[in-house]
Amino acid sequence: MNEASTWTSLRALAAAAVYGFLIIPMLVVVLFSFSDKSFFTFPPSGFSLKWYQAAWNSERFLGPAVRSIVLATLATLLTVAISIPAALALRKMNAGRLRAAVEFLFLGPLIVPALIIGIALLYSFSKVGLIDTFGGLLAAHALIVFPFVFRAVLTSVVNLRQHLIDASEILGAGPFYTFRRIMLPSLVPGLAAGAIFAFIVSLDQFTVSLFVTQSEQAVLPVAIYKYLYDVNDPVVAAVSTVLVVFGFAVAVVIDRLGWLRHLGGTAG
Amino acid sequence: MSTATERNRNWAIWALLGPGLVFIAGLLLVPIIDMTVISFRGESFGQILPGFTLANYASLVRDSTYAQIFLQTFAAAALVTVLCILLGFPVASLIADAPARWRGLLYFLVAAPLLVNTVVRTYGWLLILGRKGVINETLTWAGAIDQPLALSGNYIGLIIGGTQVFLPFMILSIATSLIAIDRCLIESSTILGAGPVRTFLEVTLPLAMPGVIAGSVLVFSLMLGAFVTPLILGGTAVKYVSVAVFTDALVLFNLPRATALAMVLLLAVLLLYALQKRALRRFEYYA
Repeated sequence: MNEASTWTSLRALAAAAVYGFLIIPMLVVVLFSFSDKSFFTFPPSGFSLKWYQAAWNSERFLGPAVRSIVLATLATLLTVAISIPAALALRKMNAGRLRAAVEFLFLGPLIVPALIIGIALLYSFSKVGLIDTFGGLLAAHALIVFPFVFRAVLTSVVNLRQHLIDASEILGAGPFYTFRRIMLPSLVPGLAAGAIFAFIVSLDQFTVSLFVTQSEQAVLPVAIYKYLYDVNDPVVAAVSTVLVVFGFAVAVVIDRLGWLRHLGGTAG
Repeated sequence: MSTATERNRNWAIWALLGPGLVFIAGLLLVPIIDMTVISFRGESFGQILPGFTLANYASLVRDSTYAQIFLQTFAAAALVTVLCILLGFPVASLIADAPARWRGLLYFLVAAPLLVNTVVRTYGWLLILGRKGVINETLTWAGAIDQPLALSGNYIGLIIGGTQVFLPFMILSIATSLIAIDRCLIESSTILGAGPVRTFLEVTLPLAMPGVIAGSVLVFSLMLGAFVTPLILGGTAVKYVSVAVFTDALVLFNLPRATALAMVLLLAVLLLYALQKRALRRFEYYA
């Protein structure tokens, strides 16, 4: 074997090990959820679906799961509504310090760690009675997911073709007609990508949710953490397996649409 | 000179920006300003006192536990970053060289874990590293150990979990740089007689630096502010800034000290962000 092919096989071996390292924690969760004992044994023995049944019957997960889904949907819609005009405005602004400052501000929730947003909102929300309310939770999640939607929409807005807009206006279309018939259709792919990322980020958001809620408004990741803290049996693994499958299913969809590569900036 | 149409245009811009600016100002700027103010206030039995004091910051400097917390947090973030570079490079390089039909799958396996809940991924490590976890049970069964190894509830768990959670960002970042490298440069280097190691060190690595830097700053700042992994895998034994902020705020109800700690963390992250912008600009200039 010459030097180059040794080099290549070493690299393949190292990469395979790293792939294993990335996948193994999820694999263990999935396997553990089908175990018939409440603790891990080696070699593994028995197969059962009882933890799934227990998770379904437990009062601790279904409510938070529904809340998480409603929350992620509403937070995404809210940020879409704010992002479109904001992105259109940035397109009209001349490049310069002001525009850079506005852009920095809009990406702010991505730059500031979630922990700091959490503690800042904890104090601000407690002043106005928003702690442990759905409204407060929704505001917090909308803030966290805003940069993802905004960035995706901004990219599509920048690529809008000005001559189509000009043509529409010259032919007598009003601004709303032009927006609906010319601009919106070219924004849809970016919007969809941003919305899917926003949904996932909201569903994943543990830190800020923990800071702005107590027991009334627990979301799914917080419910999992609390159960882990109190009981810690494979019921958590069953709930987690559902989330692993969901995550991979979304990954397949995003992959089909060709957006997987843009995930690099999805700072959790 | 401002004509009527230009005034109209400016109005339209600010009207469109309005909702976004109000949204960010109300939920991000004002709360952070409030937080800054609180960090200069006194505290007594969970009540915030009026007036101005530097006591919270002074206690961070004077109390050696805080110095330790910051040192250990930065060290953990640095270690995770280095591990991500070392583990991420072979994968990124494999992705960059892979034929198109394989590249999609290789990308998929890196990015998909990012879409799985962080609490779930961290829980997976707890199952592997815990006292009665996969590793301990397997080693006990094989007769290799009598006592379970302490792999979680300490730094080992924190470092392993943090590396796995943030590794995909590093891989995607380095892969982007590697894919952009012109193949001809690698071929020229080989034709001119450089071996694969020399080609890697003198051609590939320098050209991959923008991706390595961007990935490192991202992973380092994410790990500095990380909360889920230290909380679940580090446990109470680990001194971590984010866990200390959480404990001060929600367990001890000492909001002024918690915010002072958080302010130091925020400054560190903003500084890193600024440094990264500068470093990347320099590299783009050279390239």
